[in-house]
Amino acid sequence: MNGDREPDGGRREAVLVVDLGTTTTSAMVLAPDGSCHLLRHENGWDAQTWMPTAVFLAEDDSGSADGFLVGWPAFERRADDPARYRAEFKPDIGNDVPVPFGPKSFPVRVLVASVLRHLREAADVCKPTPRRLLVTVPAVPGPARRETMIAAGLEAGFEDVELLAEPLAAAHAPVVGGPWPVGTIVLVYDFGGGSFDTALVRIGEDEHQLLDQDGLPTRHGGRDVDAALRQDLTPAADRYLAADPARGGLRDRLERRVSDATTRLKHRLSAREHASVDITLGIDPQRSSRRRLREISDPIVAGTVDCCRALVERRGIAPAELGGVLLTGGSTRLPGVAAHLREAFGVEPRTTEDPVLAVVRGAARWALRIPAHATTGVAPSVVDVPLKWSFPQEEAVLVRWLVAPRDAFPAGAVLARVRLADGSLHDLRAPDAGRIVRLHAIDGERVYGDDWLVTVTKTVLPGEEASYNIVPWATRAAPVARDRGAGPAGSEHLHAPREGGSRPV
Amino acid sequence: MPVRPVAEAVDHALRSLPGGPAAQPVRDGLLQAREALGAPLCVAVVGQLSSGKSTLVNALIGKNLLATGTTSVTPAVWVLRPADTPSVTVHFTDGRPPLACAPAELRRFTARGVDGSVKSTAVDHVEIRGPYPYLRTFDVMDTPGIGSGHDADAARHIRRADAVIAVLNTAVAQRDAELLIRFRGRQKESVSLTPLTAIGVLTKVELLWPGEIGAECDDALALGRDHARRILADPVTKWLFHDVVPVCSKVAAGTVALTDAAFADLRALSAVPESRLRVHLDDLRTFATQPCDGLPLPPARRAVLVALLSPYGLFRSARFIREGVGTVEELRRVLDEAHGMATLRHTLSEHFGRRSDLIKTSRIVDWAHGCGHRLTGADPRVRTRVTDALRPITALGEYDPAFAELRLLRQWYERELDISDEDGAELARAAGERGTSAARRLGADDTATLRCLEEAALDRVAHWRRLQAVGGPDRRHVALVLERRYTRLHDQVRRARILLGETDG
Ligand SMILES: Nc1ncnc2c1ncn2[C@@H]1O[C@H](COP(=O)(O)OP(=O)(O)OP(=O)(O)O)[C@@H](O)[C@H]1O
Ligand SMILES: Nc1nc2c(ncn2[C@@H]2O[C@H](COP(=O)(O)OP(=O)(O)O)[C@@H](O)[C@H]2O)c(=O)[nH]1
Ligand SMILES: [Mg+2]
Ligand SMILES: [Mg+2]
Repeated sequence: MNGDREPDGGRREAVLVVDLGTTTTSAMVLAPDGSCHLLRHENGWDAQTWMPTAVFLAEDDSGSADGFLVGWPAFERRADDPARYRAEFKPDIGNDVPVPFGPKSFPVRVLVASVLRHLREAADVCKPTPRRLLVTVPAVPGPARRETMIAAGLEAGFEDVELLAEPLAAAHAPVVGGPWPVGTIVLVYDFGGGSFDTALVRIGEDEHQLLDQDGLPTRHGGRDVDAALRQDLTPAADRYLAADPARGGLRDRLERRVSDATTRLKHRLSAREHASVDITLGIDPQRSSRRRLREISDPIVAGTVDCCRALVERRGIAPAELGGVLLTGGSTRLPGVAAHLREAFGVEPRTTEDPVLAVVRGAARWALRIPAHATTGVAPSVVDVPLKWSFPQEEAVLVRWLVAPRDAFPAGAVLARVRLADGSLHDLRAPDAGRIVRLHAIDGERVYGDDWLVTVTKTVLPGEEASYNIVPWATRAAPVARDRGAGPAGSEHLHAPREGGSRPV
Repeated sequence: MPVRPVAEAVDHALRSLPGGPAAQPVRDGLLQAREALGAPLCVAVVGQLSSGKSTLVNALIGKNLLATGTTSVTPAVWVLRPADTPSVTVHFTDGRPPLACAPAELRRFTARGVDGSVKSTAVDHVEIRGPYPYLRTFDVMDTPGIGSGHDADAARHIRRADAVIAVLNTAVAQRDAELLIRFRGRQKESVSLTPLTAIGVLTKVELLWPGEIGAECDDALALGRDHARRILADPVTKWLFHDVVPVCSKVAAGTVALTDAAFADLRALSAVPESRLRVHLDDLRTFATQPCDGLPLPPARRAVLVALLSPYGLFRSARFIREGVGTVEELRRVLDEAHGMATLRHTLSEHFGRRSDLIKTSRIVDWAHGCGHRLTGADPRVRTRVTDALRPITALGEYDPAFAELRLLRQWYERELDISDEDGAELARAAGERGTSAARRLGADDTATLRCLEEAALDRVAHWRRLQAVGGPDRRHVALVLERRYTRLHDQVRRARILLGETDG
């Protein structure tokens, strides 16, 4: 075994940290020495800090292990055969219906695994190669989503896969203007490409705590802004197509260009008052203004702010208690986002250096504390002791506890009743007087002989003597009561409650 | 989404729920859900006074139970439910306990309204249970005529219904439809008169027989269908109904009362050559009052038959007998089929039954999602066990496009969705409005091969995938949902082919 990844003594393992977004994916490697390295992605022009979350099924031998091109190479080839290209599959993670790619179909898990595998290979430049994966997930993923994510990570060749909620990750990212004071309640506003997510996070000493979250899974992402802005560009494209019937065959390609141009125009307008964009030769550059973009995005932004407001209200947090708003996700660059939030919450929203990378950077910082994510077991103490019983048969089903946590009980009291495999009942008695600290099995659960089933404390505080809800037959003088056949509720025991044996020992 | 897997998920949850008081609210909720799922579909019949509502109800259940042709002063609502033993219960609006009364007293209620002993204004509805021949899969509710001063009352009841039959009197169908639109406008709160839950039924179509001079037609239903098409093509009224179907409810209700003696009379009349009978029926006055050459039976008995079946019904019955129908029961059955009643019943229990199941299911799924919040504070083991038990339910809606489709359909029918008519029609079709088989959803005919269906599904996947990055915001959203629908259909068809050995996947 590699000594570098021995998860002991606080020694660090290398970790690949991944933010797999609806539209963009970014990744960092956390080295054992605690240094972080952001992976770059060649797009044939320069090395980007992120890559599109996209796959393309190459029919030829394109060098990828599973036939999928991932990220920029996939994006480049999407025009070759749109049926083999897939982006925006994140919402379907956990869905077990396979996704068709031309003649073949693949479960979404396979797509995610190939994205993760691609990143693992890209991380190979770092030594030692990470074998532990930390991947961020939306704050409210269903169980199927989580399981698929973990399965995909394992399938991609990682030994350990760990999940972290995206807003919690973002809250750990370095914020422009210095860290949040400990104890601050921060509203994380994550406006991404496909969806909007928000969460309330309490800032802690080293790690923060997720209080609550909400989100708008549809109609509130950067792509929806694109769809609205695109309406401004399509007339020019339609005119171009209509001008010459021979151009009919260009429709698909032109539509794609209009889409790309729209996104470019949107990005330009987040920095400038006016901007123009080229769709293609033969169509005049299209101009638009920041004001127009704001007109389009305002209703969507208003929806996201309403969602935040509802969350804050639901948690009963007064405006004064809300210590800050953190902007993450690429779409927070849209004009008007900060203004809307300022108006709604009366605080100046704060940003990270790059909103698209906030989640991955924050997750990497969180990962620095991985060695601290361990606890040491506690052996029974003199006062807190676990109890176990043996049954006449190997296994049984716990029918019910006759005591509740914190109940005090006398020696010999029946604490629980189990049903043996043959259907008969069997009672579990207390060896000494005590008080319940914790039950380790619940009604209806299968239990086995010699399992530790409950922790009790031997001391019974004054005044607690009577807290055991004595069932008449349960306090029969203990050790002699082996005769299970004698049955419960003999009338001679009916007078035996309370005073019976409930005196502390 | 069929109701069975939902009911199974609820049953499974009930079985795996932990015992004890902490889980009790969840258990209660599940039992309620189970009951709601098992409850029969409730169909409300609405329309103007004397449009033929009660007659249609009688025809639907196969028994002349409700009085017809009376202008009752009571805004009475009759709810007819299938049961083995007949019973009548009056329900009040003022909190009084329901009052049982003898079935024999029914006529008194139906003909003259609730008399002295029961204060009429406080009657909410009269529930009539009994073993009616055709009433098995749904409840029927006969409402007071709209536009007669009882609109608010009618609306209150219609809101409780899962499906609505809007009765359109053929002679004034357009006016009836417009009245319904005004009614919907006034009774804002979700009186569901949209294609989602409403079907238009054209009554009194037998009065169209024998067609216009020079364009005679012996199939009144076919003439009715022409009318129906016109209503469905009307830009205003087409947003009211799932479909408009003609029925000869009077004829169907008339056959219910047919005796063996009357059948013998019909048989005698069927001996008259059809062309002669047609001529005689054209002069109804003479037919019903005068002795005529070549016509059997005394005029009074002929009059009875015409009153019962209408001239058209008599004509058709005679034809059926000529073609070999030998008993009253047989005649009833063929007339029921031929006059659209069987199809109407089928549409109600199949199409609207499925729709109401979907609505109920979405409520249950939403409820199950909210259960986690309600358990805070319980033992963590109990909490996990509850969430695990509910998991099959919460998983139901997660990736199934049915709920999203339902929301989109509602928006589309309310004209709140900015997509083309063509896209809207495809949305409705894919969502199962024209049948829920893969072929129907794909718009293929029922004889299409699986291979064709698979190709069609792939084609639609590609189409809507493209539109996600091309259309406006509404179209993008529809595209995301429909891609999921077609992906699912593709998978279903592909698996069917694998099962049949047509392909090895
Ligand atoms: N300068 C900019 N102005 C406006 N929008 C931008 C800008 N830069 C990026 N975006 C938008 O941000 C979105 C991508 O943001 P991000 O990477 O945070 O989303 P994601 O993580 O992929 O999606 P999600 O969080 O919904 O899963 C894209 O829609 C992109 O168009
Ligand atoms: N010819 C003909 N008459 C009908 C038909 N349906 C109802 N009627 C007549 O129309 C009148 C009113 O019918 P009724 O069912 O009481 O209408 P309601 O007031 O809407 O319940 C009665 O005289 C019926 O006999 C039909 O399909 N054909
Ligand atoms: Mg994101
Ligand atoms: Mg009536």
